[in-house]
Amino acid sequence: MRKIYKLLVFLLPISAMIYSCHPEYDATIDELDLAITKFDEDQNFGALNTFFLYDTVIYITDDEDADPPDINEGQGPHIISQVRQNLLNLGWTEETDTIGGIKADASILISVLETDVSFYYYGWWDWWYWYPWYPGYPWYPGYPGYPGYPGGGTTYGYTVGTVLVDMVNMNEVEAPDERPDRPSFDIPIVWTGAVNGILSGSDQNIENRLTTQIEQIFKQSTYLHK
Amino acid sequence: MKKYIIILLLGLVTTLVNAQEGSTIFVNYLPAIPLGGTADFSDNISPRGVDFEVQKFLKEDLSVGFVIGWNMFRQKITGETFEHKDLTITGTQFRYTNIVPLNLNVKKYFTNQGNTMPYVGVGLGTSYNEKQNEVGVFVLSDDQWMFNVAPEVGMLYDLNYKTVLSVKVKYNYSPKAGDFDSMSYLSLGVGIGLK
Repeated sequence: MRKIYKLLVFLLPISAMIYSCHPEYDATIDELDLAITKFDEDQNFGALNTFFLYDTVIYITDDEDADPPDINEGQGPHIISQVRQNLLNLGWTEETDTIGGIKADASILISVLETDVSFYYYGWWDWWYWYPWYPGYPWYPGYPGYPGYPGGGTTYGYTVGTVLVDMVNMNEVEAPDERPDRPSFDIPIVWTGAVNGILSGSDQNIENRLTTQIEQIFKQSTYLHK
Repeated sequence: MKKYIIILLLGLVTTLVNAQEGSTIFVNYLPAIPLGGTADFSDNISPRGVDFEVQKFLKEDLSVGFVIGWNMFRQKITGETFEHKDLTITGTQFRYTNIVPLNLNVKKYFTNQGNTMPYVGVGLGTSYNEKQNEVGVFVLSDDQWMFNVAPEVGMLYDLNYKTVLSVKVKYNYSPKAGDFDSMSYLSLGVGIGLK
């Protein structure tokens, strides 16, 4: 009897602690948006003043059989417009003449990719196990449900979208030659901005989030400011 | 991580319940204030903390024991830009710190105070530290086992011949280990002990 009493005395506060607190924050969709940038530290961005912006957004998929959405009919024009406007606001000059080749110092390529992410919801003890996953890199997919555990579970999922904005230094693009060590173009990407978020919400909501995050990738890249 | 902590704590409870006669076992609720490197990562005062302790009295005024704890700190940071490797990232960060100290300790009691028994003590051992930053759909995580020292002052109050009320203030400190910053926090413990 004494052991049961002692066990209860200890289990009660533990149980209260486990069940009374939900340690993970709840995040809104907007709070999962990210602006990520990366740049070549050896690049003198002061030498780059003009840009050429391709008017097509490339849709990247790893499924050869997939029928990709026509991004250029959807958010594509808005993305292109925002990238252009931010570069102009930073003091860059747009070069549109392509006769005889691109004459701009930098070429801007925009692409988008979508990744489906799924996770297994464990019910009442989910807070033990739930972790967000890297897109395309599931963190704990090895938890296949723990047969025998009560409560069952349900598979949920969401789609993560990423807009990639690459800046190529056109002054240093090298064409392939006959040397075996360089059989293809050498295209130096000196800056990449990525906008990452969950594709959920109305078109207007997604457009507003894109506007905010595209602005942020340029805002945090102070070396691009003229 | 959390599941291992809870399984460990539940296993320890079973062990403590079966502790030998002559020992006193304690469970303490342990809210804490993060300091130093702990506060640099997540600086909110945390109500989430607990420790379990078994004490063996060598003399009336001296005990040795073992303690395992768990403190969790968390902080939400909005719109801050930070560096990660060669990336610059802006987004809402949800930061979590889990600290699990495992210490052997010794306590000196000041008797002749009626039902109350003030004490000073110090624990030495190790602690498992995990820092997790959830940003967007990504998780940036780092963990480290570290040396741990934990001085404390407290007081025991005899509720009856079998049950003791415990109140204590404990400082936990782990010096920098590798790339992991030093970790420290001050906790206020309130709990009960069974003789």
